[in-house]
Amino acid sequence: MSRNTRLSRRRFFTGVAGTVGAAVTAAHLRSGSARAEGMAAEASDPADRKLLFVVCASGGASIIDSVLPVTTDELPEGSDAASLNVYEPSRVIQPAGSNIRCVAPLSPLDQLFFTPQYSIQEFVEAHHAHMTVVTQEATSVNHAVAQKRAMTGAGINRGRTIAEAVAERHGRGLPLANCNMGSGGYLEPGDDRTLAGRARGEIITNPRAYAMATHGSRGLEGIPGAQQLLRARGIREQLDDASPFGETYRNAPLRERYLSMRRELGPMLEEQDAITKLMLTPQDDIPAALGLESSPMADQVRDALPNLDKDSWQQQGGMAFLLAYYGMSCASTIGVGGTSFDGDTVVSAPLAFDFSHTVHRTAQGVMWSRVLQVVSGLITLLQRHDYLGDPALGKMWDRSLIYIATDFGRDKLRPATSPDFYGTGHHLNNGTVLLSPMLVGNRVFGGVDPQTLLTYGFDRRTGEAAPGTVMREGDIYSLIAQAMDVDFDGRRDMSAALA
Amino acid sequence: MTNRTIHAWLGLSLLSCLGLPGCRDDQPEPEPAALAASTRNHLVWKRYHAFAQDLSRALELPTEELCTELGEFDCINDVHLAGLGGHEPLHQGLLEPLAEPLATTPLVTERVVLSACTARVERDRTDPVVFTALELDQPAPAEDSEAFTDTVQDLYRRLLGRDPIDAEYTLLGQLLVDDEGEPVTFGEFAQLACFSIATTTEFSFI
Repeated sequence: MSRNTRLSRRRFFTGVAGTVGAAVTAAHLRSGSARAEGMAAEASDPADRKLLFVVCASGGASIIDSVLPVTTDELPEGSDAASLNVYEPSRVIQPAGSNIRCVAPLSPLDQLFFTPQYSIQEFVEAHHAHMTVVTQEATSVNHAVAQKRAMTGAGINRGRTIAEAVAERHGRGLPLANCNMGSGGYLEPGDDRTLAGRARGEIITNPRAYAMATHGSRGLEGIPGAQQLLRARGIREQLDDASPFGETYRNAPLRERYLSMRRELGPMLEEQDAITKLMLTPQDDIPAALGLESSPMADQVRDALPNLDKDSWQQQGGMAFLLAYYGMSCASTIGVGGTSFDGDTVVSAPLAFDFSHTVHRTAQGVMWSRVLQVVSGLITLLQRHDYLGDPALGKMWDRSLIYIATDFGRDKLRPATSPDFYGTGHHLNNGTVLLSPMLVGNRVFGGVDPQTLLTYGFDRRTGEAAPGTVMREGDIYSLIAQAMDVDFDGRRDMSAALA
Repeated sequence: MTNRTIHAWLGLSLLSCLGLPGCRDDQPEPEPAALAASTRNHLVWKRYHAFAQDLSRALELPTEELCTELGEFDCINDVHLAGLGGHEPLHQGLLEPLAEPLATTPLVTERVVLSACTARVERDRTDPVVFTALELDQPAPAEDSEAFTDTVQDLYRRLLGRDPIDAEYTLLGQLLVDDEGEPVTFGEFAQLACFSIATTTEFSFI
């Protein structure tokens, strides 16, 4: 059997002379596009396109244990510092030039058996200029419900997730406009049935090997040659339409959409050589007989995410970058998981941030470090590289927004008898971190009541802190939508936070 | 009956016979009535487990031998799970499978089928089970041969649970030769025919 070679889109459409099936395939493409949703529509203008990265800090990432801490000397007189989740001043750092404070790295004792690979301090030092901290109160303490509401703004935009909304706005013509590597409620699709097909989430369960899903045959051993497969595909298209099943269900919407994807998106991905561009598996781990190559950008990604080859969380970050860099996606969602090892060291907590039920400060410290390490790597990549590799389009960072989504906050109290090692339950009150040059950076919107440690909101237009108010999921959603040029009825004016 | 009456009946019969297709050898066969399009169109996407089971039974292969990616990843239960309509509640929290196929579903379907068909052909080289009509290294049979008809019919029965119609025989006959008109081997034809049939929407939707 000859080794399979790449199928170009031109060859797929037109075939070589005498290949009847390919000619019929081309005809099917035209008719399929007209009947179905036109998934391979003309691409949106790259110059206009914006990129969204949703980073899911699953389990309840507490804002007062990261970038909005309260110190013991800020408490009103008479407060019991031992029973409130406050930090000694020595445990809170404000990096030079930053208006944002953060909790210092965990002491070896506080780390328990974990080994954080990064720290909140390093992150704030490096990225405070583009950090926007927004206070917020969720509306559910159920993980799945809260996660989905973090994505949909509690349904403010017809139930669409923010990733779906951005993909519909900016993803025209992109084969994988909206990719989702999250989990639980972050992975759930939105509830709007009118959403364009191209904006629906493409689920990626294994970023390291996902590239294999973008080609119908490359990387399989012992298969017929490319021309023969092209011929067979053409015959298959005709079989599909000639069969009694095909005739009977010729108007079935589900079948039409499937055929549209097969006839339009599939060839697009193969033509773009996505199987190479998205290949995160290192070259040494790819069996030589398969004739595949690692991504040309793999080394660049590895430079910013050093444990790419072994860490699935870093692989998610790397995949999100590659999908955007190569113009295949404009919205990617990634989600930190539970227990993870780097050799013999434990670098991530079981249940991610929800390990706070067992030991709050350790879990928060370890998981914020883990999340922010990948966010930092992603920012580094976006700042280094031109969009689509084209200097005329500027750096990817200029058009990007990173939304660190989380379920909810955690309890604000701690037991006086064990102020350092204690567990916390879920709490609605919290805050959100966003990063983008499209937002006002190095700024906190809203504040924290030192007596209760509850965050309060701000005036959406002026940005002035407004004690007694709270911001909701819909405000965060509206802010992101406004920055990303996504318009919808009911969008709140969050101008104060826009650059 | 008088002679005039007999002649009249004969004349009437002749006139009416002129309009009847069966009366003249050069009249074309009537076109079969086109199948009515479904008005309900209630198709169900055949998901990963059912898809794998059907392919496994049709080709008499264990499900774990249908497809592996990069030499290590299980296609059905790991790397292509979501694309094949599966769910993964324990690690990813994908509690419910997605309602509709993903953008990559057609491609991963092709990969799994191609891998399985290739595996079947390779096994049949030493222990024929599915492709038994000829030696796999021999040239593919002629379109009007029993070997071709039996192979195609067997594939349709195994994969789709029915006999092929004439048009399907004709279409698959085109796979007996390459683009230059040269005959392919029976093994190549077997792979391509298996692939073509098992990647039709009829196999993926019920």
